[in-house]
Amino acid sequence: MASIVLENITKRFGKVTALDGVNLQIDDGEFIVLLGPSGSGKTTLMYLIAGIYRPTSGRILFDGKDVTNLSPKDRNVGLVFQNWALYPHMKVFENIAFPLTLKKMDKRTIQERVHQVASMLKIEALLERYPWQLSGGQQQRVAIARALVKQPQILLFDEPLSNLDALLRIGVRTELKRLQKNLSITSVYVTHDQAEALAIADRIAVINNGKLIQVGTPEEIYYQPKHTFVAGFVGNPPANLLTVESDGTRLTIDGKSLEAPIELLHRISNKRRFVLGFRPEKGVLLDHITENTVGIEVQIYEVESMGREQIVTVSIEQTMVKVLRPSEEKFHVGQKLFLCVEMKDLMLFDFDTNEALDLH
Amino acid sequence: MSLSDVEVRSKARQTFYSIILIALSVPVIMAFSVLVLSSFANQMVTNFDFSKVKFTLRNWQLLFQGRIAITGGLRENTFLYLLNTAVVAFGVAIVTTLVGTLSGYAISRIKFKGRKFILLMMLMLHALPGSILIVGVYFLYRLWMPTNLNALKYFSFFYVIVARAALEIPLSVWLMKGFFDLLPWEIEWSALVDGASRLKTWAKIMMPLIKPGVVAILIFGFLAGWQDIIYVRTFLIDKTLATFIESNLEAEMAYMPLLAAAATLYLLPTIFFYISSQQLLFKVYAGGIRR
Ligand SMILES: Nc1ncnc2c1ncn2[C@@H]1O[C@H](COP(=O)(O)OP(=O)(O)OP(=O)(O)O)[C@@H](O)[C@H]1O
Ligand SMILES: [Mg+2]
Repeated sequence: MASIVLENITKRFGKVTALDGVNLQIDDGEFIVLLGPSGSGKTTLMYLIAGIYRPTSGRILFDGKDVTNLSPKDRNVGLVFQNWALYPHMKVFENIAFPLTLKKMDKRTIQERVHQVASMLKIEALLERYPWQLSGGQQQRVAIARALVKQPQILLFDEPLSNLDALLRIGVRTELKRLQKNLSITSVYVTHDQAEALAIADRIAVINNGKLIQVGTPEEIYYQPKHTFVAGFVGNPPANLLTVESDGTRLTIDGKSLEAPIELLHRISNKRRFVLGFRPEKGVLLDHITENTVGIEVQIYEVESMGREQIVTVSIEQTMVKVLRPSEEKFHVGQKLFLCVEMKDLMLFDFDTNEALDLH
Repeated sequence: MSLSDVEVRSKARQTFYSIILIALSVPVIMAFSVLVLSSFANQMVTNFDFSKVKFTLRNWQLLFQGRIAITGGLRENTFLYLLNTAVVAFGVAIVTTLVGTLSGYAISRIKFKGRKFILLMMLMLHALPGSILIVGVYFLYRLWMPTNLNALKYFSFFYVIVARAALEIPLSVWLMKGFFDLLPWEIEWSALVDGASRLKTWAKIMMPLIKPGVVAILIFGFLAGWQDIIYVRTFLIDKTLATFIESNLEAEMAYMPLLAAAATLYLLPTIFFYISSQQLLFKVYAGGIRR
């Protein structure tokens, strides 16, 4: 129920720059997923929005109002901490009720609201226990309940589902998303699980080393990465990134020649070197190179079955490439084939800046 | 709410430890029993000859009537001494706890210049026995001493409390620092995000979690003040139970069973606190946070 604007946010801890000139606009009711590797500054960004940290420079606006120097208690934000931060001396009920008792609500309302969120998160049976009597996943749900119960205008989740088993995780995240849409609470959700990000985000913000690399819908992030980091981080397995050398007429990878339509040479505008990327599911393995594709001779290195599909690792001299193929196709290690990728499925990046060359 | 130990200790071992512990405490328990028994007897039972020993409450009556020297008509005000002892003990407890919690919090939570140095100094100060420092402490006493006799009496209480507390403060600061170190920042922040003010966070979240520590240093401070003899004897214009018993032990006509009663009275708070706080001191909160 509030839009968030981060304006040029920088946060330093002594010599460490945790966030570096971050600009981000989050719309009212939007579900943004912050995706990045460990130490990239995700938690720091959450704490800045919650008001626990003050930015070294930059401004934070809620609904156009500057809240940069507002204390956490005046921001009406719900935060699920990465380590839950339940109050050890309070029972689960008291933990969840804590934000409400601070607002001096009457007992009946508190009871109702606590039971409502508890039933939603399936922790009703645990209300009389202490946090240390709960499993990790249960504690996590208590932390979520405590953030939800005060019906904040902004919800911040710092890796809230990392301790749940795979099945429960998918269940709870669907529930969270549904809930967020129903209440239309603006939410920021931190994860380093890219599959989770793709599944639930309205938009994904990819962060690395304190810098926002790309912000976009899951489709944009997946199919039109603006940076090799995004291509190499998102997807399972992530996109293949190959360094290609060019002498103006001929393209090579590890000295092996790469067959490509002349159009590709135009797109790279005569660079000596560039990075060619493609999604594993976009590669095909054939005994010849087909029309309008880029192709190169490869040798099968390893085949891993994943049930319906298989990950086929092939080698171009030293470079390894992963391709996702249906299980019906049969390959054997050592076999020589041609790897072909259609022109429209290629992602091209500058070798030095790692940024996308052109976006089709 | 205590955390149970890892469940690996065997029964046999536990019994073995218990036997050793009991054996070690036998002499102490014997000494205390003799003291308490003597306070209810017409003569000391230290020679374990029970044939002439008779049960009597007379020692306690005499003690509270202040008739210490059996022959002389001199009366001592036992209640006043009890009160004095309590004042010094509570004074030391309160000063120690206040300074200990506040400095412990600061040293644990705030990164300031000289923090390490202060911690090291504290440790060194703790290593010095109070009796070594007493010359310097006495010098300061003389320096600030008021000349008015009535004022001097109050000043001497104040001075004893502060000086004695100063000896306890290093340990209590270390202890409280340890307790605050155990509290994750996230718990504090969580309360702030939940809408609590700094003061509320302190009262509702921090305090309950460090309660075992606070109670521990309260008790340590109390007992230190209660047991102290050197500082009280040097500075206090009045007597406490400790100096009272000591001065009578030296007296030629000391009636030992009566002093045994006084000593038993003097022991009571110590025993009371050790028994009542045992459980509490071992309580440590855990869970609710992922480390
Ligand atoms: N209080 C602090 N003092 C100094 N450095 C800090 C502090 N908090 C974070 N950092 C540094 O800032 C960077 C970003 O940390 P942050 O906790 O935001 O990472 P993260 O993306 O949440 O990582 P993770 O996925 O492991 O939780 C890290 O390099 C970290 O070491
Ligand atoms: Mg983090």
